[in-house]
Amino acid sequence: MRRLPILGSSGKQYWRSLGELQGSAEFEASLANEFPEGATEAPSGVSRRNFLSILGASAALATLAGCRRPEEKILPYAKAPEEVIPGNALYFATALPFAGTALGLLVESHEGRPTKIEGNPRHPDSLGATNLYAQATVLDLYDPDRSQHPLERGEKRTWAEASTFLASFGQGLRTSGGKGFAVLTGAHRSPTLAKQLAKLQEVLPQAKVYAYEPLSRQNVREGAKLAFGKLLEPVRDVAKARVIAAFDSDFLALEGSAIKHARGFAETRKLDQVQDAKNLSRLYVVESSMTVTGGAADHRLRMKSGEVAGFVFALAHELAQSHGITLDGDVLASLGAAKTTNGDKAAAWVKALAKDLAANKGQSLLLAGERQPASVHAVVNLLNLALGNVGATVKFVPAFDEASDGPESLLALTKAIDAKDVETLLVLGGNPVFDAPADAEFARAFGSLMTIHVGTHVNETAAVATWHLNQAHYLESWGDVVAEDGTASIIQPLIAPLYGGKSDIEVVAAVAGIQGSGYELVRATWKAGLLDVDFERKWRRALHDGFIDGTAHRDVLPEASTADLGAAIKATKAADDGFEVTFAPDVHAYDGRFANNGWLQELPDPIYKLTWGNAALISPATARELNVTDGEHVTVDVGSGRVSLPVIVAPGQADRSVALAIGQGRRQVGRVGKDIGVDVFPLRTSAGFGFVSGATVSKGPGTTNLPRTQEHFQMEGRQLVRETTSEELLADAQVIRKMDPISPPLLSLWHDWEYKGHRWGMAVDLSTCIGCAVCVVACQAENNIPVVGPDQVLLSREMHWLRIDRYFEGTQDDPVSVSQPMTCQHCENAPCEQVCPVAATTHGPEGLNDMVYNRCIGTKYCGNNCPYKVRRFNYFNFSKREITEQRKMQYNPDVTVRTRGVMEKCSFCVQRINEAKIAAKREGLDRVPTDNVVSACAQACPTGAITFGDLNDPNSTVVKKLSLQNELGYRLLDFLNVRPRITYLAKIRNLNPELESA
Amino acid sequence: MPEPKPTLVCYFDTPADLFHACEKLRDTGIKHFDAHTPFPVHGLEKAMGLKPTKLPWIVLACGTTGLFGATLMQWWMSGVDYPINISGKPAAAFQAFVPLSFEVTILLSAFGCFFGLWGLTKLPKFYDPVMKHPSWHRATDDKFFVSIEPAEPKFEEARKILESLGAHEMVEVEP
Amino acid sequence: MSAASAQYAIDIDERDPSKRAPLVLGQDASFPAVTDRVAKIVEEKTPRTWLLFLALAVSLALVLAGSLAKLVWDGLGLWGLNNGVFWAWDITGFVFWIGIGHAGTLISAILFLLRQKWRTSINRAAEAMTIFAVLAALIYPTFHVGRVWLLYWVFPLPNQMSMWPNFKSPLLWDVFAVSTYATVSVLFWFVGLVPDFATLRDRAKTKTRAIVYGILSLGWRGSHRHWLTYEKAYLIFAGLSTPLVLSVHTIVSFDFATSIIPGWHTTIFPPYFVAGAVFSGFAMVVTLMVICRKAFGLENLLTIRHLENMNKIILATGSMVGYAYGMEFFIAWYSGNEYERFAFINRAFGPYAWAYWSMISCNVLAPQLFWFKKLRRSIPVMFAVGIFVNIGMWFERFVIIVTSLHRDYLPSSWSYFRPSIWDISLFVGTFGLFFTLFLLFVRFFPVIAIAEVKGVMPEADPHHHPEADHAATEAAHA
Repeated sequence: MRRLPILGSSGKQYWRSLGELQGSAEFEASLANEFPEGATEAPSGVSRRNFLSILGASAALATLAGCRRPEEKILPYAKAPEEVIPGNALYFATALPFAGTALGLLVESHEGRPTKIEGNPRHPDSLGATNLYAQATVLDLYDPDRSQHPLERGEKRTWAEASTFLASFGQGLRTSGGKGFAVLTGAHRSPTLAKQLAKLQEVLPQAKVYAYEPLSRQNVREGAKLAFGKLLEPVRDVAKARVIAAFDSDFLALEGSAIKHARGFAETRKLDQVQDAKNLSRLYVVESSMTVTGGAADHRLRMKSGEVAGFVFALAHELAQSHGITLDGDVLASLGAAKTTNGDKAAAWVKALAKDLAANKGQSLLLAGERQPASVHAVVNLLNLALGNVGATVKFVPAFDEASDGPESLLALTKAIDAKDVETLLVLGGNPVFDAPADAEFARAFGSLMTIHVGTHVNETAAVATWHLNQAHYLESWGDVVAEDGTASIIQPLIAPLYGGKSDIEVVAAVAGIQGSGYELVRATWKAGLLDVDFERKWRRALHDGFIDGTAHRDVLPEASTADLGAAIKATKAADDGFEVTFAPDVHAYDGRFANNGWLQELPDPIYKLTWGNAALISPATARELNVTDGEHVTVDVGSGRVSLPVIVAPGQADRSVALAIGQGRRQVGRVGKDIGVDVFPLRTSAGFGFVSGATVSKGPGTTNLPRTQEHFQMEGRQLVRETTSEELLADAQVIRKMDPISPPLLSLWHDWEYKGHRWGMAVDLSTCIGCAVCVVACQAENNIPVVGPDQVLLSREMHWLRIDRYFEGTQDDPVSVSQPMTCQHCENAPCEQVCPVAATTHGPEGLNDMVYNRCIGTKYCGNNCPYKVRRFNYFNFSKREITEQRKMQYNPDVTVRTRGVMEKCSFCVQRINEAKIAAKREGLDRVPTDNVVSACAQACPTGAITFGDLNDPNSTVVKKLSLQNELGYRLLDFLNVRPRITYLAKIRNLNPELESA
Repeated sequence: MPEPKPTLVCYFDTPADLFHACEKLRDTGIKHFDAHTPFPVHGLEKAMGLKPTKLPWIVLACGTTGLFGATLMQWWMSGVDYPINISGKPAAAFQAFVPLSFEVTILLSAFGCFFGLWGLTKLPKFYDPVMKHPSWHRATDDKFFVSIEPAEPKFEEARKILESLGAHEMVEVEP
Repeated sequence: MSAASAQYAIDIDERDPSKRAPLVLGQDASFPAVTDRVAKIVEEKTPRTWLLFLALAVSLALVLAGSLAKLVWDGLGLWGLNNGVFWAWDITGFVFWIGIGHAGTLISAILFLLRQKWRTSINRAAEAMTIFAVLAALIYPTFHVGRVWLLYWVFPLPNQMSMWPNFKSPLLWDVFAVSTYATVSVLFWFVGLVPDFATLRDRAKTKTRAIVYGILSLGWRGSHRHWLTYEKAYLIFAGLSTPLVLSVHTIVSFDFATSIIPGWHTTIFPPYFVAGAVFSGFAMVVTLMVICRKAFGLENLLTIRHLENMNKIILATGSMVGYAYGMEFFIAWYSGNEYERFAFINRAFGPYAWAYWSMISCNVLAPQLFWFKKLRRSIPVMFAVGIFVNIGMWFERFVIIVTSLHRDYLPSSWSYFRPSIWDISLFVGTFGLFFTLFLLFVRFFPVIAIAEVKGVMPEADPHHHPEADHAATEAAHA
């Protein structure tokens, strides 16, 4: 066995033999025994609740998996631990390929089991934070519904058999030169996979490679081509922007390198002193349905996605006409022809926005949504260029590859199949049978082929494929990925494949007849590439850091080259007065790949708080027009297809625009995602891929009780979320404090307890909180919070310790929105404590409101007496219902799994506090060093809106964050004198005086 | 050893007759006699010359025990043995102890009253000679009985007094 | 109010205010008649209707048993509770039954101290009702906890955690108040029963009866030396029960009053809850007595006058409750606290307005009928009103608990509570338990305190008859 260069000599004994990973016969056999039938396959007609109570696979797995470390050299992030100390977590750096970029991650691993995902602070695209999906992937890893063995026409096969098949299959292809063979990939950004595919095409000259992504960023790339004549990708630096204009783009949550965008945005909204209010950025958002970005906007203009193009053109025209922005004549002419502004408000916006942009040359930023046509992206690119933003707030880097992953490629593939040019198809990941555009008729074509599907789940595509090969999860396999700005990361496995799966790299290599494991292939790529000299050291460094230094692209300074733009602008369809249907990723399922993930399905969507499924968002006015209310069904017909689904009457939605979320309503899915939501892909065609106008919408039969965690979105005039404008704040620094309903000092009847040691507390900055809800999933992952299912959410029994309250102000049709993270306030005079008859919830010496599960008898009185309603009760044995051997492996061993009949709530991550205290004690310190404790929510927060720490430590981040607490700080329901430990910092909006009326 | 002596039992028709009889017996200095009535006849204890009962003192003792016991218990448990910061209030907050102390006081008083009653009346006692009287079943219905106990020195005197007052069914019941 | 004025207030004979109406009427107005009348109920052979009702009650009690078993097996999720509304039908049912349980002690203790002789005909049944109601009530706090098998932790018993209960918790005060109340009521009741058990023993025709009642009567032989201590004990019990009965519902109201929830946090609660308890208790007594006197021909012992007196108390307490409802709104407005104001506006006009207005019409409007003598002396009317009042008082607790919880401080966590089938079955079941016990009581125990009734009859007074030797007696006294 090889020795580990960094791990101590004793390290090697933890690794397992090669034979296991490569899938020797005995190992396959042992795997089979681990998963007796019934434990792994869902009983037919099993209800979700039954599933949740299925008592997992045989315990063999836990013991076996307990020491399933990959046998190659993977390196802990922490500095060279002598050996793994049971009970002490190790952190390994890896990366998650996601949405056209990569998130550098640190994965917490207990005794070889990855349990929690954190961001890698040094990675340019995660900056130490994560997004919803990164947090939830660890649950996917342990999903008992994952594909666990290869299938041939639905028949179970061992990997031994599969390997032989692949070998012979590849052999056959190589003799025929790959005639009639095609590979379909997703929008991958893996140099090694690219290299394997290139090699494949070398040995199989006639083989073709197609790419398709249901949430394709093709328009962005082509927008760059239209504007600059070459395929480029934008990399934004929001932190440098003073004026930001987003056109139908949810860039703070879902589009591009969202975490980086959000962090940058937060930078421009931070106040260290009142005077900073002068330099706040101003965010304009033009969009059809309320997104996280729209919720965070200073000015939001709701309009159909179809009208956005006309608006952007009008803006460009205005800038050129009145603000001396130089544009190519032909372009200007066609802009003049194509510009439309629907209504006075839009017109006023164009003027004001243009003025503001022109006044902030070089420090403004325009963004277009990924679903907007290329022409819009092109115009936006030109404006950024003309306004001098390129190189400042937005850089352009070469695209990862030339491949087009838009709907057209799938149309082309179908055509090729029908023309018998393609007879065998290898699908690397993805689920094209489910998520292909309707007009591609891909499912039909797919059925007529000899097909091999590689995927982690038996999804709609796998079910009809000739061969299905179970793919290793990214936490189980070697790989590499390139981030938006070109920074490359090595994906290193945290655990040997639970079900002996293989990575897409390995499968392609096998077909191409290339020898070597994924590990060797990845190393080979980089040995030949950047890391050639002094390879081993650089390799170790790369694994240790989680990214490869110096791989970021130098940005290219593009020049306008708009030959085809004029035509493209003229060709851009303008919206009509009819109904429009827009498609966006589903918060829970993304494009469908997370449909079986309990954490994501139960996560309330950031705006309308829907869990477990999707609904059609329509504006209040449209709801009146259609005479429907929440939960009633509408039938949406776009000609090529019709779908009936429940509506949510959505304040802030554009009139006659119906927002649909793709990815729900999966037909071939595990027990969690079964019968959840409605599949809207039948409405999505290659022509109307982002949105489509001219739809007919009518009230349909049926009603659905939508499981939403919040029903009431008005604040009822209560001072819960306090906000003001930068103007008002500059005029009167005390404007927020003057909102206190009770001004005189709050006195106490008795001597207060003193907190001399640590005094844990939290600050929540509402100016930078965008309500993206990552903290909610992070909390769920860290604290073993059970998933209760839609039936319980309908009874308002969700268990989340941390929730994001959303409130709307202003008119119902066009409201302003605010979000407020809400969790246990750890009141110093906690009302919950005095009412407990058995003292199960009491105050700790550091001011934590402790919940003692094993003392709790469940009177629920504390929950009644909590003014913030943050206490959660285990009405049933929720944890037991969802527990499987796999799930057990994910549990955080530092946190109790709660049983039936006890109350629970946020503990300020007391397990992390104690870990830090023990560490400090070991080092002989009398107190925890500054900022050595960070709560899961604070760690995951992309904007740093949540800060946690010791209020008695003058150097701690939280104390610094509270520097303005006398002006902006307030404690929720302060007048109750319960003395919360969480201080909210009021939201500051930076309004444009010219638009305030609008 | 001497024969155990019998008890003399007879009855009257009205509370008034009984009342007079008792007064007479009392005035003759007869001590060992008792009246058996279906309900408490007002003022009869005076007529019989009975001393007031000690029951209230028993109850008072129990009540005081309850009051101080409960208060001390709460003070020691939440203030001394295991003080906890609950809602930022003082560990031993006497205001909060009042309801429980009060309830325990009542509870112990009630026990004192209940068991004191049976202790003082020496009940339960399932046999008593007077019950042998042929018409005893009316003692708990509508007749008013008098019994002279064998220990009474002026036994015969008492019999004469009762006869003179027209007591019914004068019977000597064996013990 | 002093004894005398109390009598004047509610104890005068309407035909001639100067003298009181007799408490025992007609051919029943003699000692043996009273004994017969009451004892007959126990001695006669089992009536078929009684068996019928018992079967009905027992089957309901079985529903209770089933619901509880299922609840303990599956968990509190069976009920409609949610995050926010952590209490609903459970505590509503608890306060409802505890409230009903107040009339008995009130009649046997407070009216005794006030020398209200008319209490004697009703106190026995009322006390029985009290005890059974308290038993029904105790089911709720016991089973509304998540882990009922650990309930004993509320008692200060040494344990491996070396932890003690939290004496600052109103819920803990509750535990002690209610259990004390249950215990004392049982003792008081039993003491009252002993002489009547003796009567039944002495009338026993069968050996079993003789033995059973013999044991129950503790060998009571009406000795006046015993009566002396007995009457003192009775007086002390009355003296103890009076503050106790007031404290119990006061402490129950603390469960809400000491919280910080708008609509709960109110200083008016203790008196308001006590008045409400008496109100519902008397309503229940009237309802049951109206049935009993008809079923067992007790019209002469349980006269219209008794019922009318109770109806007067219902009218009085009902008006107090109505006043409290109004005062709550005034204070909410006067406090200037937006959360308080909202809580009460939401009560009357929010999603639970239907519950609020049913409460008002049952509790405040219905009893007003009793201003009219004709109506308060009419059996059907008082029966109907009694039922209405009990419905209304259930709604009162529901309104207080649920409407306050479902919309409190943060609109984001507002929710709407709907009862599940198990909420309902449990509540129905408690009636089964209550009526089973009550039916057994009326069949085997003396429903009317024989000895006490005799004691208040004119013949019971040793100076009653006007013979000549009366003077001699007086002389002897002097």
